[in-house]
Amino acid sequence: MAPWSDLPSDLLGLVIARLPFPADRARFRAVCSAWHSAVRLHVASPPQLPWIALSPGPPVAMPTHAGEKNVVNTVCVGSTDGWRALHRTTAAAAGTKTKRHTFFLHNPFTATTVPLAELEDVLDDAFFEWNEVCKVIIRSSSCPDGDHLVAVMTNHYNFPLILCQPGKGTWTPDSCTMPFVRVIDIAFFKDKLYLITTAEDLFAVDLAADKHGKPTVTNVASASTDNREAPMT
Amino acid sequence: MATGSGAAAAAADAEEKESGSRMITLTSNEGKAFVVTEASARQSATIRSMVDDGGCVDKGFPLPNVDSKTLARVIQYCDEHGNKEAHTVDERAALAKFDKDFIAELDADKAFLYDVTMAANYLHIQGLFALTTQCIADTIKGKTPEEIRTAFGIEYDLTAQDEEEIKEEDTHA
Repeated sequence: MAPWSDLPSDLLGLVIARLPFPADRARFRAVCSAWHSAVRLHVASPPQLPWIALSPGPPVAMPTHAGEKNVVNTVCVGSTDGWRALHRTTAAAAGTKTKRHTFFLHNPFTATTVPLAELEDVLDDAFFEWNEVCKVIIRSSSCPDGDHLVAVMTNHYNFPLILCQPGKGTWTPDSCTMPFVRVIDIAFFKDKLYLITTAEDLFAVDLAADKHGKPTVTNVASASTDNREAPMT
Repeated sequence: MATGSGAAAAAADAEEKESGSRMITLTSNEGKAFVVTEASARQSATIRSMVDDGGCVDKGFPLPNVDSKTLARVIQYCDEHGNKEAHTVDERAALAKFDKDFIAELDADKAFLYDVTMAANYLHIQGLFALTTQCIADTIKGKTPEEIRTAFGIEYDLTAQDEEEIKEEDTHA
């Protein structure tokens, strides 16, 4: 039988490099003395698994609120900086087929939940019959009790983008307006929201709040060509 | 006429050199000679650097660390990857299928997998080495230490001190 326990240490190190899961490394270490030494030599400390919530995710285990019944499932639809955007489906009253969709932000580190009730007017059961939420991003102010601005990208022609300020209101573009209907990705950067369209054009969206605190869009400018052609000063 | 054919021969020779179609002899530790194309031999970074340094191409390369059975299998891999084109989707798919079948055979014979891994490491055949180490890692994944020992035929030799250290590392992990 081949002397597998005598495999050179540097070679064992390359095998360990192909075992990304700490559990596999832990068991590898307990095989024999030489492999144990190799792990001690090649693995400085157990790797920290990053906290990532993928979208769209599997049902999320979350304590249901008291009195909440008939929860079908809760799915993570996006995450930014520790906040997860969750989409919960509950069965509506008995005898009807329609489901109720609720949305909220949840921070598993601080166990804080922020309801996104304003989204429910747009993202209702009729919406989910044919369409889906493609991406949800969250911009949080740095203070713990600060405001959140949530941007939702969907594949619905009338609501390709929804901005939501919890407790204040929502903003959606006028029906079928460019560039929103062609958006394929969105991201917050500094104080603006950036959009990428199917034509790979980049747009910068200026955001503001009206006097009631509802989010609004004050300007949409192409960021991909204008900047390039801007005169150098 | 004579000079003409001489020049043609020289040109053909140069062309042969350029396209890497020279033949190179690799000799196993049992003294068995294997003649391979230069393109095949160049899969090995060890041999490639010796060839490029203007080394003993004509005399061939003795490989004292590799036995005939292992060398034959390694050459099989190098021939496939060195002599065949991999430009089209079909060609790449054929090569991927070759790799899959190649490693499946080694996976079933762990002693041979060990020999091929050691040879791939010694000869610096990157693709083959990646293939074998991945196969080793895949064998380990999800198995208990006892199952891993069985798969590779490893004796349990952990001392009481090792066990203590492992326990301690587990609580820190």
